[in-house]
Amino acid sequence: MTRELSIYKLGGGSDVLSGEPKGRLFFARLVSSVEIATEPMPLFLNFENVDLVTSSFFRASILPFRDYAVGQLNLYPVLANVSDDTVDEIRVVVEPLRDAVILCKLSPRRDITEARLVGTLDDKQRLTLEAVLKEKEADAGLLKKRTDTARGQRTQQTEKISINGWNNRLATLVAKGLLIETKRGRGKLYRPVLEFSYGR
Amino acid sequence: MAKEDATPVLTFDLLEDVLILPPAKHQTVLAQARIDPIGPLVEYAYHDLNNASRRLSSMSPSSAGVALARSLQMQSFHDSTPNLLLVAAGCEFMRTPQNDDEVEHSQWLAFTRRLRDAGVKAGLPKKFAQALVGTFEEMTSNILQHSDNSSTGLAAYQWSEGQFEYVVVDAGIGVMKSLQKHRDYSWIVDAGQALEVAVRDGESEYGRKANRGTGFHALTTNIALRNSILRFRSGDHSYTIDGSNLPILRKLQPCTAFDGFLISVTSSGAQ
Repeated sequence: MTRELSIYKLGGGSDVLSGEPKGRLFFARLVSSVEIATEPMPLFLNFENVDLVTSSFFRASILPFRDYAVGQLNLYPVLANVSDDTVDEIRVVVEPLRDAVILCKLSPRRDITEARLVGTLDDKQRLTLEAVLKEKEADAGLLKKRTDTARGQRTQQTEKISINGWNNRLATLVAKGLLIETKRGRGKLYRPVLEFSYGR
Repeated sequence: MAKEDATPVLTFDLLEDVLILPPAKHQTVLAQARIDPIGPLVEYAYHDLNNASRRLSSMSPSSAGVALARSLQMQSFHDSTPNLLLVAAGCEFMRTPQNDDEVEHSQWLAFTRRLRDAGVKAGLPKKFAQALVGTFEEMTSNILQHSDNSSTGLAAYQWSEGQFEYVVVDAGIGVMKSLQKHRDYSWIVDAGQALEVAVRDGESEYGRKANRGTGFHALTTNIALRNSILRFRSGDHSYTIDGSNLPILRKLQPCTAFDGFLISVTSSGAQ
């Protein structure tokens, strides 16, 4: 099951969304448009018909909403059908923050294609994300086991990461809305919000 | 053979030449200069906002000058109704939003739509006209956020076939004082440095790490690339991004003192 919000409709039918004050108002509108999910799931923010969202607007609305949705609502925002100009503006915001968001194309039949990550992650987060993408689903223990095995096969010295270290990295990726966290017994499992490619 | 019109047009360069003269001599030149681009007209009025009406009445008569004087008498855009004759002639002035709620007021939204439509009517591609609106709204938002005097904000546009222009201005604290609010910019000692930081680097009074720039950086370059000239005026400097010929020319220039911040964008369409 997925949820979806039309940014165009929520923006009152405006094809250009710009300026921080408007962004702040839009954030409030986003928050009041969604309800908490009983289980973690993607929330598609559909930018169809929106030609341009400026960096200031994005910074004041979509980015804080992503944090709110992940932290409070069990929802993981995915930005769908974003114009190229808007992608440029999103990069202006997320790259200096070493942050990233997931983008995709969403067809009228709700087929998801071209899922990708836009932004920048530091090396540790990037490696962790790639490891979970490879495993499809993982916990800190599995990632530790995999890397410890890989270390044993290598001659060169690589950093040894504790379970706590893996948990911290995974939690950071969850907070950025890139991984979904579910509880299993006393532990936590992580999976990608979508199958997406890392990079531009 | 048709006689060439020798009347000088009021440009930013001419205005700067005039402002160096004693104030008593301004009228001698300005009463004869033809008002065509609205940017210099607005800049002259905002050089001494308290006496703007008197200043404008001493200039050569123009419908834009009359409309500007009228707009400056309004406290907010709620007081004004579009001057349909002037809008039809391709020009409009409007007070900018003075609080967050006003940025979504129907009157303001209608103005931004007319501005975009004007860009399209001038012959700009729709997508480019939308980018101009995006930048325009960033600029008017900055009056709210950074000027400390949003009640003085004003926006205007003008179009003709193949030419589109808009101006955003305030009589606030200016770019230098705005940036100096943050210790990251304590090294800034003149308006020229402030303009370079705000426009070129897209930074703001919230500091470098806040990642909350003026929204200018990427958009302004994209606009300049489309045969456009952007002029930023604050304090005793102007900063111009001239994309009328490639490569883009960026020029920082000392000028006479100007309280507040003025941005003028002139576009002749995609190259």
